[in-house]
Amino acid sequence: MIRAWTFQRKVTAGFAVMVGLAALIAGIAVYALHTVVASRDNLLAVNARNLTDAQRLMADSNEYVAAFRGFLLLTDDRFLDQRRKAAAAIEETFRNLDQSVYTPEGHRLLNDIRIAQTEFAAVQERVIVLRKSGNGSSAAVQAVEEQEGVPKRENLVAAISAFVEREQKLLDEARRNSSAQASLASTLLICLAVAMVLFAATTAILLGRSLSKQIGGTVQHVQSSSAELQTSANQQASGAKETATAMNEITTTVSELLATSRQIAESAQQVAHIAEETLKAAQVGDQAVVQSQAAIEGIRRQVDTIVSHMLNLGKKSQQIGGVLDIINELAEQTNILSINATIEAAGAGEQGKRFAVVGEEIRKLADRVSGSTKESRALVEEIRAAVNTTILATETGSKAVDTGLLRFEELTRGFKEIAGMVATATQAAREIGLSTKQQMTAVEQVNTAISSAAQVTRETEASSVQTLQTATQLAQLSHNLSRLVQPRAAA
Amino acid sequence: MSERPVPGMQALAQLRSDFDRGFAVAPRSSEAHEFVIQIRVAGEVFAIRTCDIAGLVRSRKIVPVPSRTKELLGVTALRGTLIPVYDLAALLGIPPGTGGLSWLVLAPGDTPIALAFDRFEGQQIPEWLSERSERRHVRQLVRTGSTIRAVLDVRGLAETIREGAGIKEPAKEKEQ
Repeated sequence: MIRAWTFQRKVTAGFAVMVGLAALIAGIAVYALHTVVASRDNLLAVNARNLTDAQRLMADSNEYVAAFRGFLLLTDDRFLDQRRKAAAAIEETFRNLDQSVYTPEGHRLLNDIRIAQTEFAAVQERVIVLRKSGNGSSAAVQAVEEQEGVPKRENLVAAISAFVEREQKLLDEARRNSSAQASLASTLLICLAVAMVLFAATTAILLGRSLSKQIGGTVQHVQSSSAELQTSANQQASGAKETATAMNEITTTVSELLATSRQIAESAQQVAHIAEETLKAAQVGDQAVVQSQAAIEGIRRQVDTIVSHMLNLGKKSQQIGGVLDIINELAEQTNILSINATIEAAGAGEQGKRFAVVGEEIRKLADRVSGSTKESRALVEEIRAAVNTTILATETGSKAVDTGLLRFEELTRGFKEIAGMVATATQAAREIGLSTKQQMTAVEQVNTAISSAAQVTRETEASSVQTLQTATQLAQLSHNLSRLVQPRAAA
Repeated sequence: MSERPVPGMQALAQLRSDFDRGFAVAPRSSEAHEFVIQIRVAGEVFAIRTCDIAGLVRSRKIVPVPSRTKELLGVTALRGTLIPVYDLAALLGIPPGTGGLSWLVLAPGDTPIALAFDRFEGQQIPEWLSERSERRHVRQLVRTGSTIRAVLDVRGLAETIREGAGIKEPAKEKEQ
């Protein structure tokens, strides 16, 4: 996880650890100093003051004894005042000691001093009373003094000396404790300082290695990336150059497109003009078609009349055929009669020859009539066939005229549709013209934009060259940095 | 300028001219008047001398009669006389044709006999050929136009029919 930390985080963490250790050491040092100072303060405030009070108690006791002895010697009340002051001082010191002594042994010794002082004071009071009363001789006073006062005073001195020794002992013991605490704090601080130095050194080495390794890897990445960037910049430079060339070609093409758009706009105007003329021609054609339709209607009526006449002619020719049939039949019967007359004439012998001649002539005449009838029939048949053909052709023509009428109606509709379409085409041509003009404007804008783009491309080409140079410099820089970070790897 | 001649009018003039010329020229010899009628029997063409027949008429209603003679088609009425009608094709041994028997030729004699055939194709003065036909009831051959026809012996046919029917004709003077 630490490997993923950033440099700042690692350095900050290292310094934080150092600062923490320093703070710990400072805290410990403050604590040790505070302990030592407290110990010294305790030493000075309690033990030393107790010792001083004990010595003061000794001095006050001596002054108390001296005042008593002075009174004994001089019987002067001033010594009693001094003795009372010394007793008050002793009492004051007792109160101070009673408050400051904190050990049972101390309180016991202090109580022994108080008892000894009380007993000694009681002996002195009896001596003082004796001395003041005057009843007692000096020897008696001295005896009381020597028998009772001296032991009591020695007890008191011994008690005070014991207390002083006790306080001296406590002071020495406190001094030794304080020195031991100071020494312990000093040793602890030294150990912590050594530990901190070792930890700082280790941290510095590890951090240095880690940062060196990480920076080295990063620098190598930067080096490879700068190499790739150099390659890419090279390709980008060549691509930008090709793009610049392509943009020049596009500029040329767009210029040609602009010229073409202008030609298209002119052509669209011409087309619109032609469409308008076509519309007029279509309208004229529509009128002509209507007139032609009326003419075809007349033709159809004429054709109907022709068909009627031809049918009548067919009927007449059929009647002629009937007449020809009659004539033919007559001719045939005449022929048969003439043949029979010939036969009869042949049977009549010489008398029938003339009759035979007449019969022959009649037969010939009948033959000719029959032949003429056949020819006439053929002609009539031809006429009938022609009439039938004509009727069929006329009917076909009539149907064709009807079909033509239908076609003309379709043609009329077609012309109207053409007129409509031509109108639409005219409108479309106008719109095409407008659109082409707009397109031309757009192409001009595109031309301008492409010129700007070409300029940008040239600048991009220059920028690519600059990028290439920068990438080269970056590669050199990364190589130098790698050499600085990892000389072996860089070598 | 002359008008173009009308074909019909030309034919009329030709007809009139031929008719007038018929009265102008002398009559031809008897041999020159040897006419034949041209007939078609069950698809085959024949000729019959006009002097060998008593008449040529269109076929009338033929009433079938029971007979043992298979060639006898029936009887028909002609000029108030009942006349037996025979199938000429059957008499000549020709298979019957598909067409109807429209024509009758009358054989000469006191007992009239009618021979029925398919088609009458006209009368003509033929070119008499020297070749002879071995066919029964055929006399000789003639050429009418481009067609060679066998000349039927109607008299012989009639004689055969009569003999078959047991009819005897009275003797007459010979034909010229």
